[in-house]
Amino acid sequence: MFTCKQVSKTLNNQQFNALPIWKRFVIKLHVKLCVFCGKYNKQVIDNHDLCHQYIRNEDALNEASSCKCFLDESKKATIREKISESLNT
Amino acid sequence: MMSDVEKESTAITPPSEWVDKYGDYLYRFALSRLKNPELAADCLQDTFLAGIKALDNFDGRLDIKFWLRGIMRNKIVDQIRKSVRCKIVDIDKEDEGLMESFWFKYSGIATTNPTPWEFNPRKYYDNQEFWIVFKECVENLNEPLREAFTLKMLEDQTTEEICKEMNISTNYLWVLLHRAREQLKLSLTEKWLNRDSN
Repeated sequence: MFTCKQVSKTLNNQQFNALPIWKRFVIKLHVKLCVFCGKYNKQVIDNHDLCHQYIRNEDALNEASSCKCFLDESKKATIREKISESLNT
Repeated sequence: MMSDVEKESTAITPPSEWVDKYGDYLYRFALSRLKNPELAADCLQDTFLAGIKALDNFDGRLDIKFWLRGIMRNKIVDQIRKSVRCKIVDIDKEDEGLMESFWFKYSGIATTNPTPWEFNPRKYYDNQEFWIVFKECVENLNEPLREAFTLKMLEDQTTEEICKEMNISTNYLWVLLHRAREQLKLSLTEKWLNRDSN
């Protein structure tokens, strides 16, 4: 069984979703039962999950045609020029 | 038949079409990490130029868009490193107090009783609008919280690397991540719960 400090340290250094399944289980169990670090580390795990889900959704978000953010046409032209220069050398 | 499949899988978009096909997508990706439009555009240009140089190494296993995004991720991390290297990260009294606190020393936590979430974000995981708000909230985190949070949580850099680049202790990185999470919780709650009134 982990101590509170070990749980906090692990969550600070690694993404919860990337941990081996047994470690996730032990940490979840600790967080569920611990009256000291339980509430805090539950929020840390939730934040890791939030980021993990965001990364999964990020592609669709950047792809969305409804997105108002576009690269400047003038900047696009400059990059096109640089690309053709680079291809010609 | 086999050769057709092979040809199809290795057919790649020529670099001259990259700007039109992937420009906006990659630009948005860079902007979400760097916040600054100028830096994002420069990062896009560097990505394409590095892509052209490394095109011979492209094995066709991934869509070229994702291959370019992989190159871009490295460029983004380099750019954030460059920008944090020039800044001195100040430690204020409140942060020092947090690092000296009983709960941090003995349990690695800031408090036993954090403010609870006013809504459950999990309910909105399928909602694109929620992620747009989340993206905005991450972009609006104060510096150096945004850099620390992006490097650690979104780009999955190791604690050692981030501490070395930002010239801070692991304990202070913990404080930055704690503050970033708290700020994110507050701004996400405020923006998401008040989205109809805006």
